[in-house]
Amino acid sequence: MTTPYYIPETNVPLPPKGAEIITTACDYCIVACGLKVFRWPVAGSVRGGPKANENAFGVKFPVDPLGPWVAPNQHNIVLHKGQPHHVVVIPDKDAEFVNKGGDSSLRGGCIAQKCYNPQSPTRDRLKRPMMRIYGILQPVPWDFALEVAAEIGKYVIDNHGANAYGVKTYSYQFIENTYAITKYALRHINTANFTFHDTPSDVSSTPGFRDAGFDNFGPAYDDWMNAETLLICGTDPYETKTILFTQWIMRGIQNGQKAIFMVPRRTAGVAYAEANGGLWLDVNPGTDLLLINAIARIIVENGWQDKDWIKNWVNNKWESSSGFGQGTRNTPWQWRTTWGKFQTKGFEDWKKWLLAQDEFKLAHAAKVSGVDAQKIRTAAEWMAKPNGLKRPKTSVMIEKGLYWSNNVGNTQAISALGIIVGAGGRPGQVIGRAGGHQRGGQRGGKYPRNKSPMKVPGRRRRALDTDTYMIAGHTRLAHVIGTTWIQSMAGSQQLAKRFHELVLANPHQVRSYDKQDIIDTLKKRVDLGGMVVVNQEIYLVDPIGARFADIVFPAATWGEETFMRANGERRLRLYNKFYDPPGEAKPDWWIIAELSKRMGFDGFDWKNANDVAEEASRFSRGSRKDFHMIKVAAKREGKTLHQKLGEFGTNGIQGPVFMKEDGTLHGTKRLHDTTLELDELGPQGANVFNKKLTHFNSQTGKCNIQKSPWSLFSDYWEWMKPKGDELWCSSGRTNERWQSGFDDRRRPYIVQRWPDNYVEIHTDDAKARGIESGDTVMVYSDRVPSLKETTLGIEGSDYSFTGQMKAGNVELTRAAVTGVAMVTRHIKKGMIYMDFLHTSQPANALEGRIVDWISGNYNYKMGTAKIKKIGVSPYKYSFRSMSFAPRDII
Amino acid sequence: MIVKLGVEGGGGIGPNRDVVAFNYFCTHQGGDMTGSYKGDTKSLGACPLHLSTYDLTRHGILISGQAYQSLPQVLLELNGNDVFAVAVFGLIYGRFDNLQG
Repeated sequence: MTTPYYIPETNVPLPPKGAEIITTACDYCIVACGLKVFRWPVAGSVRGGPKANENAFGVKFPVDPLGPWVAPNQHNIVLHKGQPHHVVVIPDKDAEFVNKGGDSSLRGGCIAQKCYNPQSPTRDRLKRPMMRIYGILQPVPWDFALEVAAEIGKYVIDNHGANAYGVKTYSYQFIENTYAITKYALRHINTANFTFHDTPSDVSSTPGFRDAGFDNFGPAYDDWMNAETLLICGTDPYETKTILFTQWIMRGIQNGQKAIFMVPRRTAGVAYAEANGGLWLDVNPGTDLLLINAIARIIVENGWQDKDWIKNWVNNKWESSSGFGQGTRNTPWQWRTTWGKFQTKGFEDWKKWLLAQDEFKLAHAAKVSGVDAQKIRTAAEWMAKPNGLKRPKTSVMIEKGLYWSNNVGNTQAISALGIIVGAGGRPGQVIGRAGGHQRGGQRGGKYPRNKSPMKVPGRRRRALDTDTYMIAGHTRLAHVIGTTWIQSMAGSQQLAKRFHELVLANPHQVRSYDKQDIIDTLKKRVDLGGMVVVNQEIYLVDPIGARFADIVFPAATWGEETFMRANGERRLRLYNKFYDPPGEAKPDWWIIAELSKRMGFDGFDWKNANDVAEEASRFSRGSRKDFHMIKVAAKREGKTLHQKLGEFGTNGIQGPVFMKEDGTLHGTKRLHDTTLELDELGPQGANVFNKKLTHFNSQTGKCNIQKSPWSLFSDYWEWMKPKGDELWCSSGRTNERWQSGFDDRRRPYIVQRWPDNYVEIHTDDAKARGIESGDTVMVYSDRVPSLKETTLGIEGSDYSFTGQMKAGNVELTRAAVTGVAMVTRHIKKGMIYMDFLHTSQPANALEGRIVDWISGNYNYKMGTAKIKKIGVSPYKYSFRSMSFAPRDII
Repeated sequence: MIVKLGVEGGGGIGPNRDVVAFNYFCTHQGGDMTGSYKGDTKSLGACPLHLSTYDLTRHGILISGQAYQSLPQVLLELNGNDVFAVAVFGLIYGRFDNLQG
């Protein structure tokens, strides 16, 4: 941890000529800027000098703008093979892709501070396995911790069933790790009580895209730049995927691109767009569907839709029902519950439905969404109005601000809008996610959905809601890997309370030094209805690790092991190891393998990360990250998969990867590329062609245009809507802080900027409540709704919010979070906004723990709360930390 | 650059402690922020390269943006009516050492 006082340095060691140069990519956002690590020993006191032949960059200091400047935050001292080494980590100035020329955000820019250095705030990295004995987490040897974990794991599975073993894990922290974790949890344990860091159930985050046939990451970064009109929903890429904005979208705007932002806050990217010919649709939380369909309505009323595209690329009734026994009956949305609610007979049927919905009429949509009607008209024109015979090249980008509320409705609506403006399958005319985390997931097993007790009426089971399952007391062992769980899920304070009851308040606590005694105690705990917690982490996280974990495994992370991962345009890179992990920390794949062996699972004899990657490669075949041919090429050349991928440096190679006749590898620029001509002989050798390369991901390869009824969600929205003194309470990222701040809380530079959680509030709303910038405020609610139990749906609407209320399955609880007020002009009136994952002040405590009843994802972005001043923070009148200036200064 | 903020600022000199001075090269990639001071928000920027902004009342802290450190503040001292620049907090863009280059 670090204090909010940062003393800036006035010099930095330069890497000398001859320093080792290791390529890697950033560990943070989806963009994954290519980085270079310059490493040289501390021993000998060698430093680079300012002359070009004296430093590793070959450049004379002081350097010009955009040159290889090294800020003090880009230097650190690490242990490499046990010896202290200087490292300088800066963006790769020779990068040819992504962050061309070597730009980066401040997150990747300061990543050198992430490295373990016992003389810096990273000193509290977990270094030894720990077990809670007599209430205290005490270091124990690996064997000891693994044996106890394996024994209790086996016991839970054998006596309480596989579903009693819950696994909650990150989805992205490198292919080798996620493959091992999913092989363990899904293939061997085969539990339905499994999910990822950002959702309570293992379901698609963008169901509308999935149903339409869109891959989440089809577009190339070039496409975002080259679109003539770009609609961005639910994110400001400047804030959270900075280089995607500054190197790509910004250049597009400078070239005349019309950028439209559908977000409730005007941050730097939005302000830049507005000042340069763009548009801000300042949408009220949860109302995006109305706004999107209002735009669509204007387009079809005027006949501006892309008729040729629709004719060629949209399924009619028979096509969307097709599938030789597959098709709509087997798709997730066509249960009896939702029969007829989404599927259409094609464009004309969809258009008829759209025009029949009064709520999509301009006046109504403008009123409820809070967006000026003229702006809505302008957006429709820019997206679709032809100029003579020429149509605008329009692209659509979405992120969590859009789909983490009304998950199904919003993603169905935006898919349909994308389809009618011709987005999705041509250069500069694409649709996709901008991305959050990088793409580091590789499945080593299949999710056993038929083992889930959750079912909507009809034939399909829905993935188990792990939060409600835990709250209801069915989880006996919670294996938590690299996620806070509690603060990242909605209803955080309810979850924490339940963890306490099941783990700590259970009479069976470990009060013995004897291994068998310990195991027996944990067995008694689970038999009495309690829960055991196993936590794999890099830092001790409060409360999941610090308070609840019975066993803690120290994990090795970025830079401490060589790994593979892809970025938001499917660019696979090798992330090279360049320093030693702290103490006895081990990579997650190793921890899983050791646990698996002790639980009697076969197939975990890997010697190194490359072994895992090589085993995983064939499971990637046909997917957007297909890297199997890299392994094939490697084997032909007598290399390992890691070695071969490493040859591509920071350029990497875009998946799916193919091998040409001459044995060289080439990547795939974009998916759904209807302009791409594939080899007419078909895939050669071990190459696999997936339909997605040139078509869409449906039975026919054409898009499904779906309905998006407001009524499936409006009951929850109406109930949550602020009443009286309440305001919408939303949350999200801010540029300078990444996720839970696990690294940023240990960077004095960032802690100084954001010491506590902030609460953005509009000037007018603040004035009415007597709140000024710098005041300490309490954000609270008496009515945070939460689901009590996993239920079986009988009638069609049993799972809807109204249905759950009627069935008595919704509990209302209180929650409260403190923060520092930021009174600002850049946020919409009627709402407040906090950092979504400040672990000690979790904004998610105020978000209703009510999942989208069709998809199972949370409505993270629409909580409701009251706010009151409770005092003054130390940042109000001192000048050392924080700033209350607005984020839209251009 | 040197500016009279009109409100008290960290490191400010003068009877109102509102005269501050900063280096104007952005501590991200060295963009030139000459002439970008804004009186309403007491800020420097947005940098023309990548839009970073700095709060000049709070020792040049980043408001929003990509800088790898706060904007280097020039420590000022007042002697009668003479203003002296006596030190710099933070490494100036482009340099590896403020004095050595």
